[in-house]
Amino acid sequence: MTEKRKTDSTSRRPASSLRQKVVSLGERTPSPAAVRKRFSPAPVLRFLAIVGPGIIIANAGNDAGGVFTYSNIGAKYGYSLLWTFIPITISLIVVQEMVGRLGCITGKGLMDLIRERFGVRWTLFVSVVVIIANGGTLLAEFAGVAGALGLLGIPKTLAILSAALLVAIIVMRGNRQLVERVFLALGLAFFSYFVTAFLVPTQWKAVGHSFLVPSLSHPGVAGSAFLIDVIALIGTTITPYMQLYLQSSIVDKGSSRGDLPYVRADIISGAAFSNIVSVFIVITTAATLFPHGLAGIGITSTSAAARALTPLVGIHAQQLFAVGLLGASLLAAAVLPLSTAFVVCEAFGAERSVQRKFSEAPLFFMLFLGLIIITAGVMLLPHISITGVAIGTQTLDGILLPVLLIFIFILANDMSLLGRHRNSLFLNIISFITIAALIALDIVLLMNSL
Amino acid sequence: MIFLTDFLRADIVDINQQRVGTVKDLIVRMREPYPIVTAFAIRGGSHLPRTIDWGAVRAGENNELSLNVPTKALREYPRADSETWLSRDILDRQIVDTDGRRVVRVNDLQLQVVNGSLVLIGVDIGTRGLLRRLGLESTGRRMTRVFHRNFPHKIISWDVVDPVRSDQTSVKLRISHRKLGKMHPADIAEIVSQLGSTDRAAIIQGLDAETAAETLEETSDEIQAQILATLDDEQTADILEAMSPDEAADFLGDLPEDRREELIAKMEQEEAEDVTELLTYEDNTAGGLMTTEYVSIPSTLTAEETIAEIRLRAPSAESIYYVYVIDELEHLLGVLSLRDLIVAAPETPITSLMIERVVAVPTDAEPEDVAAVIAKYNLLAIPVVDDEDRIQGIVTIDDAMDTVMPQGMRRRARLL
Repeated sequence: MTEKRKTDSTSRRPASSLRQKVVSLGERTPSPAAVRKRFSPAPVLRFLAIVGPGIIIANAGNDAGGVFTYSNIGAKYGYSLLWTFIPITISLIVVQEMVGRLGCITGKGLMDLIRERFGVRWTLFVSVVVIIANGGTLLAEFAGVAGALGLLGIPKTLAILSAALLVAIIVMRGNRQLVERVFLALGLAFFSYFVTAFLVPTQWKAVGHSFLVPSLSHPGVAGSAFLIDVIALIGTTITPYMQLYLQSSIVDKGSSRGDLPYVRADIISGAAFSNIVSVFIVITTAATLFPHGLAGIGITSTSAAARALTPLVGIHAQQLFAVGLLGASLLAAAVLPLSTAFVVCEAFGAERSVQRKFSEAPLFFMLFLGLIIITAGVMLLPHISITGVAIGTQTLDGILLPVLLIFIFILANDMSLLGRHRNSLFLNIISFITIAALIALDIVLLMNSL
Repeated sequence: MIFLTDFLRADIVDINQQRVGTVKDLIVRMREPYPIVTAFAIRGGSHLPRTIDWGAVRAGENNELSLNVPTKALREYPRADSETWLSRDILDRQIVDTDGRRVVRVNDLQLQVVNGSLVLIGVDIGTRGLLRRLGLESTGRRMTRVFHRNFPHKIISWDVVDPVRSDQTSVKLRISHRKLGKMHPADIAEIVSQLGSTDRAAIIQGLDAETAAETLEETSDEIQAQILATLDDEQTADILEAMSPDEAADFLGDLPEDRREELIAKMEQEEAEDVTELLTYEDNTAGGLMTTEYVSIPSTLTAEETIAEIRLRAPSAESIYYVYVIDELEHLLGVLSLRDLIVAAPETPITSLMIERVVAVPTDAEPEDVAAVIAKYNLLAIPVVDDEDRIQGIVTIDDAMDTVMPQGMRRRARLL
């Protein structure tokens, strides 16, 4: 005992100097007052904290498939299909509101709810649909990367392989938040459509006319091709994966009953905002590409789509378009495989985390890596059309969309799940019309192609 | 082995071999250690009762449930609040495997006849259970045989699971979370973070304030805030009191001013004072990191008196391994370890035992520096002093570690 105390006093320096030294450590950051008021977030900040999923997801919606599909619609049909954005936006808001409400009230993801409400068989069915739809969307993103880097002179094989590798590495190792912000920032290049629309001789009267008087004219386009384009337009605007991702992120944020008004505001502003961007893409391409030989033909190459930005930046249009496309494609590509693997594993109760080893979470890694490898592999096939893939997969999304919507519709009407927050008659009418219209389009397309 | 899937959709025939309908669900009474099947729900004509007492069952095999009474004699089984429907309430839900310390999903439920009654004994969480639900169990068995593998059941015993259930449906299930409550709070926290927000709240509400507080201390700040936001003010105040003051202050510090004051007003005076004091320090300083629960004694005591003092006060102190000696103005005079104290003769005055060269940090020291000092001097806790060397609190080694350990490493610790 005394022994120890002796060692203590001999081994240590004089008290005063030691204390001085240690205490001085903190003096590097001089604080004028010992007592400082803590930061108290105002309601505005609370709003900003909850706002986010909606706007980010809406922007991610303007991904490779979206940009190509909207450009195609403008180039092929001019202003004539602009009116469709009104019903599509309303449907999008109604669908996302149901999804957001389900997330807020139940605190569970969409696939979780499907599993708990409908059992294993239906879950398996929906999982297959989701994997196909999301695989298609991911394929479009890789097509976008190939197209963007192609404009910058990088060969397709190199572009696809490095993008696939990048996505896998980001998800497994990287700082996702930072990376997502970088991609989001790159994607902002698409705001240039706003400006371009005012630089080119846009016939605003025709734009207004198209919004007010719905037309189904499609000069020089076959009926089934027209249907395919319209379904692609719906499928790219109301993407299946967006609904799953939206609900998951609302649940992750822990939004609850009380946050519902904020979540709704976020969804409405996000949907409106992203569709305004989409409308401007259509207007710009309708003003630039439609009168110059692409009417009735549409977009057949990445550089053709990029030409719409020529009036704004001249010869740099290709680069500007490439940057926007690259950012938008990579943003969605970084989210898609991970969230798909996650929701499916969650529904089946399988281990899911990138922190695990392959042997601990085999299903998770098989889905996640399988999606990347297969879609990247498809894009590596020779002679594959970038625009064809980008737009075709959106049609696939549009065809599969009603499956997911029916489940959302039933869940949003579930008394035991939502209680007084279940769908109102008004919402039911709109969502019913959306589902019925989509199924009708699918059936007409099927009959047309037979 | 008998599974719930074997019963669901089984045909029901009465004593006269008349077909009555199909089984919709099995109803159990929650009971320790294994719930017992008391009734079954029926899918059939509208003239039939919706639920029937299990006593009416004579035998159940080969997808057929035969009754020992005629159809006409069937009576409605009286509903009780404590009843649980296996398919509706448990199948396909997430449950907590308290043995494996993880959240799993119920693919099927294993039943067994014990003393003439059917009881729920296990939860199937494996692929085999999934395939059985899909009607593909025999296909799976054949496939695995081709590859010369066995096809194991993955079943966890019911007595180690804790169902997660929020009160959303009309039937209220009062789950004590007894099994969950026995787990280490760090493990409960891990499980809580894997669940949806309503389930999280349900679990925390089922725990006693002490365990709930320790669990919340282990969760991330966001999850902590989320859960406490769903509880009512009384519950929140109880949990905040049970939390160590530094954690409680961290939580309260992130709230808007009026909300913070509301909650502090509902707390016991002593805890409220501690928390209010801690709230005056910046988040990212030794002051923001420290707790006010430490043992300090006047310099006039002897070793024996000091031990008596610790016995009296230790229950609320976060760390008792160091005893700080102070004068009447709270100036830090010295420190002694619990070891020094115990091995000393009872009547030794404290002043001759204590080490006068106390290593301390100022209230505005940065967390990294605090951790570095703790590491350098191999301490378990370090006192935090103001400009005039008055002790304000202590930073314990675990709180200091949390600030310097990278987020990823903390998550990875689960694998160890």
